[in-house]
Amino acid sequence: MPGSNSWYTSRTVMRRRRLFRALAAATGLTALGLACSNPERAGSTSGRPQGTTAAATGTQTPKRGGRWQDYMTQDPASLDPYKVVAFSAQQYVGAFVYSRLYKYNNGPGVNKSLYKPVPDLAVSHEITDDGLTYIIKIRPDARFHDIPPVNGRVLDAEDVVASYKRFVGLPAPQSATFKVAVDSAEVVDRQTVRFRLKAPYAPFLDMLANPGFLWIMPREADNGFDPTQRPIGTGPWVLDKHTPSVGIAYQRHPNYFLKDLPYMDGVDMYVISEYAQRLNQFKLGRLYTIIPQAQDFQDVVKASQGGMIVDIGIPLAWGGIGFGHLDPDSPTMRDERVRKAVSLALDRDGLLQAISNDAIWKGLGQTIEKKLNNFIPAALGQWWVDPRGSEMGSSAQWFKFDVGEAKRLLAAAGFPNGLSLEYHRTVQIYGTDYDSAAEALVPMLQNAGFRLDVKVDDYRSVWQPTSWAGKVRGLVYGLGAAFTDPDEVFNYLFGPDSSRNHMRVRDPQLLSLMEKQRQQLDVQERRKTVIEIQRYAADKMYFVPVESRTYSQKEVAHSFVQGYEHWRVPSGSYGGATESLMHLWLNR
Amino acid sequence: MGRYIARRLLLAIPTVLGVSVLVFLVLRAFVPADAVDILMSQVLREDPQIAEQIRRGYGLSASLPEQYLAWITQVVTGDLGRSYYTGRSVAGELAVRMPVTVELGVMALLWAWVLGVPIGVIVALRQDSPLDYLFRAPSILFLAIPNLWLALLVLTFGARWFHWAPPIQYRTVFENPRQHFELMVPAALVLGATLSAQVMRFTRAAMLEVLRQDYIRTARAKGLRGRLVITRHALRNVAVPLVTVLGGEVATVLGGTVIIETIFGIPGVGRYYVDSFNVRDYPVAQGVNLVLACAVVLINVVVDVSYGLIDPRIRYS
Repeated sequence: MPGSNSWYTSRTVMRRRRLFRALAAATGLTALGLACSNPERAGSTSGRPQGTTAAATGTQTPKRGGRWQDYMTQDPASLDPYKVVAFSAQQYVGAFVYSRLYKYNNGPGVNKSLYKPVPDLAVSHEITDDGLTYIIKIRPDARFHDIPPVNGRVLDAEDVVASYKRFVGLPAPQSATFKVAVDSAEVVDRQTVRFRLKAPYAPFLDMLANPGFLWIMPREADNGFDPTQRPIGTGPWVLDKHTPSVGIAYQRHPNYFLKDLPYMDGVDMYVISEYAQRLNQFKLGRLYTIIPQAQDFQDVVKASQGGMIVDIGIPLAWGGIGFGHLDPDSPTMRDERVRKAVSLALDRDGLLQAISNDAIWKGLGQTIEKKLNNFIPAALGQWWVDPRGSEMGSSAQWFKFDVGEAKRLLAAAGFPNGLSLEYHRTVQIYGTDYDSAAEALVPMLQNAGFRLDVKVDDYRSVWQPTSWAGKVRGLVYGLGAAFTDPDEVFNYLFGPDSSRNHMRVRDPQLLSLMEKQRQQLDVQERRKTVIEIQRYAADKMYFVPVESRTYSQKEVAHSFVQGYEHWRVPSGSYGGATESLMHLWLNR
Repeated sequence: MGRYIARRLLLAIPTVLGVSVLVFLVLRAFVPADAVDILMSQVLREDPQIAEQIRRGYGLSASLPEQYLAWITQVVTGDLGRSYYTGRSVAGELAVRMPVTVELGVMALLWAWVLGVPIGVIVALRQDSPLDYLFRAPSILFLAIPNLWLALLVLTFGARWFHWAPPIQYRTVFENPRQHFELMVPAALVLGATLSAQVMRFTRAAMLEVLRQDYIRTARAKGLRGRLVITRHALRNVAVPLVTVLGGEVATVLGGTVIIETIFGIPGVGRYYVDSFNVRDYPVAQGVNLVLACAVVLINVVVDVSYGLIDPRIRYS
């Protein structure tokens, strides 16, 4: 137990403010007990109250009918996912109405943390030997929703190419990443599309599966109908009614290309931003699932009347401390010893213990999986390595909790009496875990000799455009976006054009390694390079990975919900309406 | 009176214009981060070209006076513009949302006044009695408790003790009257709780002031029954300052429903405005501000005119 002057004592005096959580995106089911050394092993769900077993559920015949009742934490920013960079447009609209060429693998026995792309509209693909061309066959039976002017016709390659051109042609900010990799898309024949890349790109199929990018729309989009008013796609759900600030109603697509799916007749999504409201509505059976806070868990399980407790794994969200580049001569910009001192000052285990409510969950008989973030988030199964594990080699030392060493490094850098720095954070947008962690980091850093001038920045007007873009002095603690491929993470943190490259680093060796892994189509070879990048990044510490919700979460489903434990998508994945919801059914 | 009303309405025009300039400047010049900054801040790459393209598309490349002129010209023709994000007409959205907020506000005010005025009168008549303290204590409590917390208490204990939660979805009174009122009534009660405390305390203070006047003593001395003294003399004189309070409360309610709307899931103007402000959806934020400003100006005119109706001594010449 640390001494009385340590951050821990300060931490125990501090009380976490229990406000309501802003829940992130769709959550899912991941395997319990997943080990990086065995990425293919699928896990199991945890805890079944009142005798409800997975085996019994899995052998029942799905029933048709009923409507899924779910919530949205906010209104979709737009009904057109190309018009905004917002998870709400992807998750609450895109994934319902549209299909992608690929989607993430899901289902019984699947290791969901691998985020393996599997065909959705695509049937198969070929890659030329140089890795520059992808020839993708489209399925011949995908029909659009029966809405004018498309009127339920069959999707073909022209629609795919038209969607690509619309995506890269609109000033859609998210298409910038796509444009960097893809040179062109063209129709080969009615059922075949050819993508030409600018360079071999290992995660190209992941990009096609990523709900943040290429939704396939009819070629009439913008020329026959307005997707911002009436989206039309081939997805399993047809948008029936959108009442802003109230909710969205979807109907089942009767001509969906997967036979007999979806099982349910429709989905009703309600805008409920307050956790207390969601909790109450779940207890009354009006919402079918919820991720409860620890103190509400028992009540929720009781209200589910024999329902399912599902471990949805570690969320895709991750966090860390960046270093602002506003002053190029600042110690954090000039000297990696100062940056390493920041990392060494952090008691990551203690932080994770505190924000995960581990003791409370244990008292409830539930086990929580906890991991430490590396530069690759803990949720990305096969790419993540334990920052203090053997694969990190000598670089693991920079993730230890060693206040003495932190002070020694600061002194060696010319600051024997400590260093004054700004510390930027935001508030009430990322959830209580982030707020708690942001508070806890302050005494940790202060104990190591950093004198912090704490700045709490408004999320939209200051944090997003300025602080989290590194346009500050000192430290900035925030959460990263939900990525499913390491190349996205590296580009985000270290890409020369990335707005989240806080230090505006242009490290030739790092960029060379990033380029190398990007082009390595062999997964095992690519993994070695990804690990090498993480070791290099740790030695430079251009960014300090920190924990904030790197623990598995529990979701509870009512007893009449069937299939949830098999089909729940991982927390933070936005494609749930296609990858999960259409496989669920209601036993009532 | 007619000329007074006409003059007040004419004077309202420069007031509203002034508000429009202020709102425009605050949103576009003084508030940090504009609409494009907010949009581009979500992008993971710095791309000045895309930013410029979007800025031109939104008409934000022009100078501020040009932007204002373009907007106000549109407004005087009845077109409040379209949302940058949803593409929906602002006027159309307001036509749907404003009645919801107005209904919520009216219900809250009704409850506040139906409760606050009688209680205020009673405790004024029973000054410093146990009854007086019995009602003053909770009024202080309701003034101190934020609407947000009160709403959460209602939701939490409603579910825990009474197995009740408001309907999950808003329905209009024509779609489903029962569900409509089951959602709106608790929301209005929560919103009106603080207002009722304010009204009660103000009524009490005003009544105490009036009850000390000579004409009240004279009325009693003449032998008028207590009830007549209160209703015919005292209340009439309290009504003028109360109407002033009412005018202020209407403005407060119109602009302050956002928290209640968010917690209860009511699709009113408050939420619409806050969401638009957060992303700098200028047509929406400006349009809502302007409409609310017009409403407040109109309410003030009505309040001023009502003085003359309540108190014949007030003449408009």
